[in-house]
Amino acid sequence: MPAYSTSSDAELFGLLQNSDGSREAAFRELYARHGKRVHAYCVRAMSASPEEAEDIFQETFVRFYNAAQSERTMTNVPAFLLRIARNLCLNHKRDSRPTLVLHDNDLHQKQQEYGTTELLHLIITALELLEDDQREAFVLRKYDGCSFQEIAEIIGTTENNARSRVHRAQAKIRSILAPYLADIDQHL
Amino acid sequence: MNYEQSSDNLTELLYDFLDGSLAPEQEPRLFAALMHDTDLRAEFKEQMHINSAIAADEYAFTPPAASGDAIFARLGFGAANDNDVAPAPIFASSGGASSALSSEAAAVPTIASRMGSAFRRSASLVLVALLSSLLTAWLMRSGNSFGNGFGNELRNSFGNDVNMSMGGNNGGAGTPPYQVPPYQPSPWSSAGTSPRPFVIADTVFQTVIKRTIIVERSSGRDTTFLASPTGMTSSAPMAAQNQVQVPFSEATREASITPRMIAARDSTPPTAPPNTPPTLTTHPAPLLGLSIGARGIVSRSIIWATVPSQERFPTNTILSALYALSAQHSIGLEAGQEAFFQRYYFMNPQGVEFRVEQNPTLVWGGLAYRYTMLPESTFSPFAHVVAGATQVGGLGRGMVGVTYSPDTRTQFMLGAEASSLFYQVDGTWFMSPKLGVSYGVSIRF
Repeated sequence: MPAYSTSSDAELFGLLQNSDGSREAAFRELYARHGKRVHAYCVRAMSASPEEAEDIFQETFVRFYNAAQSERTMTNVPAFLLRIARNLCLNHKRDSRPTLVLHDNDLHQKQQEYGTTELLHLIITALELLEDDQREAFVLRKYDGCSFQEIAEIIGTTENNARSRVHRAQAKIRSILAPYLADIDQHL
Repeated sequence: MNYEQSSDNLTELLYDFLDGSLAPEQEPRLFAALMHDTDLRAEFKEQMHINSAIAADEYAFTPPAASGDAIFARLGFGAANDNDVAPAPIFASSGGASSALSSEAAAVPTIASRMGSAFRRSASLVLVALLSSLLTAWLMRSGNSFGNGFGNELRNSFGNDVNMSMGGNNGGAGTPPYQVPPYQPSPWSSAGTSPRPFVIADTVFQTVIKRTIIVERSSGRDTTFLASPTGMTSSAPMAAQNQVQVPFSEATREASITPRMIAARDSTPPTAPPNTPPTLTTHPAPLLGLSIGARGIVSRSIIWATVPSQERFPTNTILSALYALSAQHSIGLEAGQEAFFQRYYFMNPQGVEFRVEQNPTLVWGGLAYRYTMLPESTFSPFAHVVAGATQVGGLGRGMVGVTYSPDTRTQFMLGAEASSLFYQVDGTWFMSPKLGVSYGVSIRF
């Protein structure tokens, strides 16, 4: 299979409509480029179990692939992917009961410094305490590296509103973590 | 601008700076504020810590390889690592939501993908059908070459005094016509017994033709039976076993067809057809005892499959080579490729239980044994078992069905079968049982 590492997202998206092997190669390349961002969104932006997040992550790419069979052009593939993931998250949230989520498997994947691990644990806990729109905007900004304009497109609001949500989320997380941040600062 | 607004503004500048989106012309203002504002410096450090911690969130930024493989598998692509076929967690154990999602996904393929899927699935059926057709065509062609001149023989059998060529290729150029002599009972026949075949031939298949003509005339059924191509073709190997074969020569011919035979034929009217037609053994043991076959499977997993299988051509197809130990018992090798839906559970190192569902298309091979209940019959029940292995575990399958043998070489089969894949994950055994229908064709040599 030819390598498509130098092709643009739009070019790869166009190849998804081919019937030859380039379709698979293009899809794999797009998955390699954007899988991390989508996964981070699915895992952190929604208040769900890791298993449910994995479900949505996989479903996002399957739907993306199916959509590519009918869509002719795509200017912003990651935004499109995140929009699909967001819709799936909203559907899941609508259909599921409120659950207590314990991210036991979040913090022990690999050896990390104690301080960073501890802080990450606190951040994840703090994310759970944010309002949904703020958490989503925060994750899109911090985890997915989206610009405020992209965040606005994905969640369907204005750029200023997106910026405001992110900043409010940051401020709230800081306030939640304030007692710990000072302590961690002494250890780091 | 009051102090609060100014503080908010500086905080936003700080956030933008940390995100790398602060305009260069605003940086001096932020740096100046950091020099004098201790709270802003504290927030700067805290946000740096937060950003560092988020960047170290490897769990979020590392999609499980199994998830990627699961996505590719659901889309009909091969796994990223072909060696890692079995462990591909797809749907977690959370239950309703994930099942609903997967069902919804399976329910909304595009028309193009649906057509492609149908095409690939039907390709295996076409392959088996094509193979059957080719083998049948080959057999028919072989039969024509073996029985070259068959048409002439058939036509000639209707009359008493027609020209027939005997020996070599009937009707061939340069072959002298031969006047069929009037019928004479076989010199070996005796009263109350069936006439013994009278054979003049230089090949086995010509032997069959000549013998049939004479036998049928002796019973007065010269046209009806001979008009049956099945009777002609299926009797071919029988000739090798049952008949007295006399090498063809002019001397033999002259010696065999005597004036006494001609006179007897002219004076004796044909007798009435017997109540019981001559019995021909249509399915003698093949010469080599080898049977090569292909069959397709239409099966359904007993565990309801929620994941479509990988569409790898040819799928649900089996090739077999069986050797007849006796008329009823055969053993051999089989190999095939088919999908097995897998559902198993495992615990990850963090103690979280995963339910894994996947539907890989696996290549398998194994030993086969077949018991044929009525090997001499056109239709025969049979039982067939296979013990084999795939890339991920053992395989067992059993089948009962019926074979149909229109001639000595070709055999069609239809059966109901049960099969299961047995595999082990983390020390626990799982199985993927299936029920299905199998159909196919085999050629005996």
